[in-house]
This record gives sequence, structure tokens and C-alpha cells, in this order.
Amino acid sequence: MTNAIEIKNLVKTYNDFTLSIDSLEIPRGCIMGLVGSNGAGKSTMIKSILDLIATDRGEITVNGQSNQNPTAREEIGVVFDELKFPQIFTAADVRTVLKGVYKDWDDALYEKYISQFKLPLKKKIKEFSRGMKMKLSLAAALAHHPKLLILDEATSGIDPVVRDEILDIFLTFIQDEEHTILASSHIISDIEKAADYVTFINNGRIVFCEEKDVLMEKYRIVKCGNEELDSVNAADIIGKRTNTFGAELLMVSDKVPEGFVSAKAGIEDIMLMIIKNEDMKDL
Amino acid sequence: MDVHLERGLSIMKGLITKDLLGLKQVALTMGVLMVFYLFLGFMSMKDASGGMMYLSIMALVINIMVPLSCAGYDEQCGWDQFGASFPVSRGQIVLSRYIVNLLVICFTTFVVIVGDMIFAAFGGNPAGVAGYIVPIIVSLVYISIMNPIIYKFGVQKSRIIVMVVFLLPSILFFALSMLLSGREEGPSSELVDVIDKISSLSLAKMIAAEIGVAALAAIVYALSLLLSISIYRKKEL
Repeated sequence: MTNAIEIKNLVKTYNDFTLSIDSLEIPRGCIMGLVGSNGAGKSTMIKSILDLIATDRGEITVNGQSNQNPTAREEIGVVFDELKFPQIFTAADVRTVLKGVYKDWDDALYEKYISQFKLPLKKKIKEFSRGMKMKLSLAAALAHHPKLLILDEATSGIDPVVRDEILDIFLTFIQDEEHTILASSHIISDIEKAADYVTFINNGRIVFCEEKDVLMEKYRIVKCGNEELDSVNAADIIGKRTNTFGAELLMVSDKVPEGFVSAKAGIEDIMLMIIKNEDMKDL
Repeated sequence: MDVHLERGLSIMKGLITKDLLGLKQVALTMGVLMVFYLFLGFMSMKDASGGMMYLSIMALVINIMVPLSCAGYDEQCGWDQFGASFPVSRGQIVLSRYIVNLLVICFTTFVVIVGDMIFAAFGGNPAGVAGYIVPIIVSLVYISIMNPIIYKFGVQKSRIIVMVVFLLPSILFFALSMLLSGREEGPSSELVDVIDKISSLSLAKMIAAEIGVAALAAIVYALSLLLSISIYRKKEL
């Protein structure tokens, strides 16, 4: 089966930053969470997929088509961190414009979302709350029956109630096994709640791309005192957070020494400790 | 109709509608400008140049204001990035903007013609076709220069460059006035001879000459479109 997104040998260089992805395949029918700190390369990766920036080299295909082919974008719905329509527009204006742009635009589906999200059709966008803007973005992104939904920090700055509502929409969308979501987010709890796979980018490189459940089982947080710390093989420590009494170590589950107290590692723990460890190496 | 052509037209319709709906933001300013210049034109409609001078200024100001406003609002809301994520080519995005600019020129020309006819009805000096074509030519040339600059540098950075572009004709006009004023004191320059020749043309020849220049301006506009597309294709959004 064709992957929703395939990236091969992608390189994009800026003055002080390089995004380099040797290979990434995002299978259809899953929610892929893209995590990483600010400036790690998440947005550059999304912009590359959408062909908004020219890459130095590499190939990207979306649902089997080159991303440089505009028709490939017929099957993509995009939600950015902001609603990027002029502030004077209404939800009705958005419909008028997108109806012309997308081949499979569905007025009835758009109106269904507008009514489900309780959005006014005739009110100017500038009078919308952030949550309403995001819901309108989502309605606009879904109303042309996309197979791939790309979300770039879409849930940031939105209250938990609306975020939960939006997550429900994602879960409904993904019921169709042809549908895929690629979502970058700072809000790791959203990724933990909804994602099937997690890709972690740091300093322009993919640190890991794993199935979320496998990832959650793979790592453990080991809590130990200063004396116990000396007995741990340094090569087995992936990340370390020290405090007055000892340290918290990020380790692969089967490397945890016997007798040590360990707990499940969350995605945030894994991410933070790996970033910290890499920063220490850079010093 | 061919499927590709039908899709292309539908996309154009969507993109053009977006710009036209966005122009609601400057509609009030445009309305005020039109009333203001129509009023000035009405007051001076019995002068030698009739009210045409003010009608021409009105048309020019609006024709030039629109591309700047469209690009400015796009930049403000991040439309460029969003628009390029649609199933449209960069060429289609730029083409739609050039078509919108032409539609605005058609609209202001219509207002100029109606204004001139109203002035004539009230006993003013009608400018006729010869007067209508000049603002179209100047607008086409201005927009042809402005749009590639805006696509290359963005609206914010372009403002200074565009201002220089605006000032250049004024400087040329000033230089021309200086030459003309020197005419009484000294021998006439070659430039003045050319102006004399133009002034002595019959109305029919004048209109024919203007249409010729307008055709050249249209070619410049088409070349500007190609240049803007080439710039926008390479732009990082």
C-alpha cells in the first residue's frame, strides 16, 4: 500500500540551520505526531512537504504523487497555527473562495462542520475567538474530502475544551483507513492522546520515528541516588536529569539495572532528556 | 469544455474572488477618493483640461493603491503560505492578481467615462477617448514595475522602492516643465519639438498614437507578469 508521505534524502539548508532527513515514511491510516523544540525543523519539514520552500535535494511524495505537482494538494487539508484568510472575511467568504479552488469541495460538508462547530457564517473572522478561528480552519481543511490532514501547531493557544473537541474530529477523520494525519504540536499531551506514531526531530534531524505504544514501552525513567548513579553503565544512559539527591535517567527498558526503581517514560520526558543530553554533547 | 481548462477557470475564479472580497477593506477609502476627485473635477470641468485631470488622478491613485493593498493584506494574514498550499500553481496565483489589477483598471476607466459624461452634461469640456486612454497606459506601466518588486521584496521592503518609482515621473515632469519654461528665453529643445508635434496631431491621430502606446504598455504588462511568476516560483513561503 502506498504511504501517505514518503521523504527520501531531504536536505534544506539555511544560514544557521540544516534539515536533513534520510528517510521517513508515514503510512496511511495513522496519526503521526511530530514533536521537537522550537527551531528543531518541524515547520521546515511541513513546508517542504507542502512545497512552500525549495529544498536543496531530496524527494517527497504525497499519496504517491510528487509534492511539486499542484494536484497532489487536492488530497491535502492544511491547518496552520493561524487562520490565514483576510480578517475581513466571513465563513461564507471562505466557502466562496475554496469552492473554486478545490475540485471536490463539498458545500454540504462545510455547512455541517460550521453548524457542528457553532460558527456564524456572516460574522467577520476578526471578531472570532482563537478557538473559533481554528475550528473554521479545520472546517475549511476538511470540506474538500482530503485524505491527508496536515496540522502545524494547530492546537496551540486553544483552551482544553476546544482542543478536546478538535481531537475528537481528528479521531473521527482517521476512522477511514485511507485517511492520515500529520500533526506537529508543542502540546505533547495531545500527541500522547491521539497519535499512533511519533516522530521526534531535534537540530534538523530525526531522532526517532516510532509507534507510540512501542515508544512508551521502550524507555523507562530510572530514579537513583548519587551512589547508585556511579554503578550505572554510562553508555546505557540516554538522558539524565540531576538533582540534589541524585538523578533521573532515561534508559531503554531492558538496560535498567536490577533493583533500580523505574517508571514509565512519557513522550515529554523522552524528548526533554534527549534534547538535554544532545545539548550537553554540543558544549 | 476541456476538464483542465474548466479546472483552471474555476481556480482563477476562486483566487480572483478572494482578492475582490479582500478589497472590501479598501472599499471605503476608494469610495471617498472617488467622491473627492469627482467633486474636484466637477468644480473645474469648465477649465481647459476639463475635469479630466482629476478623474485621471482618481483612476491612477486607485489603480495603484489596489495592488499594494492586496499584497499588504496578504502579507498581514499570511495568505501567501496558505494560498500556495492549495492545489494551485504559483503561476495561477500571480496571474489572478494581474487579472484583478486589470479588472480594477476597467472599473476606474468606467468611472472616468461616466464622470466625463456627467461633466459634459453639465456644460463641461468633455475629454473623450483620448483622455480615457492615458490613465490606463500610466497605470499599466506603474503596475508592471510595481508588482515584480512587491513579489521580490514583499510589501514592507517595497514601499521605499515603490515610492522612488512614484517620484521618478514627478521629477521627469518637473524637468520637462523646466525645459518648457526655458523655451521663451532660449532656443527650443528637441524634446519641446516632439511635444509640439504631439500637440499638433489631429484627434484621430492622437487616439491612434495612444492606442499604439497602450498596446506597448500591454506588452510590458505581460512581460511583468512573466517576471513576477518567475520570482514567485522561487520564493520561500
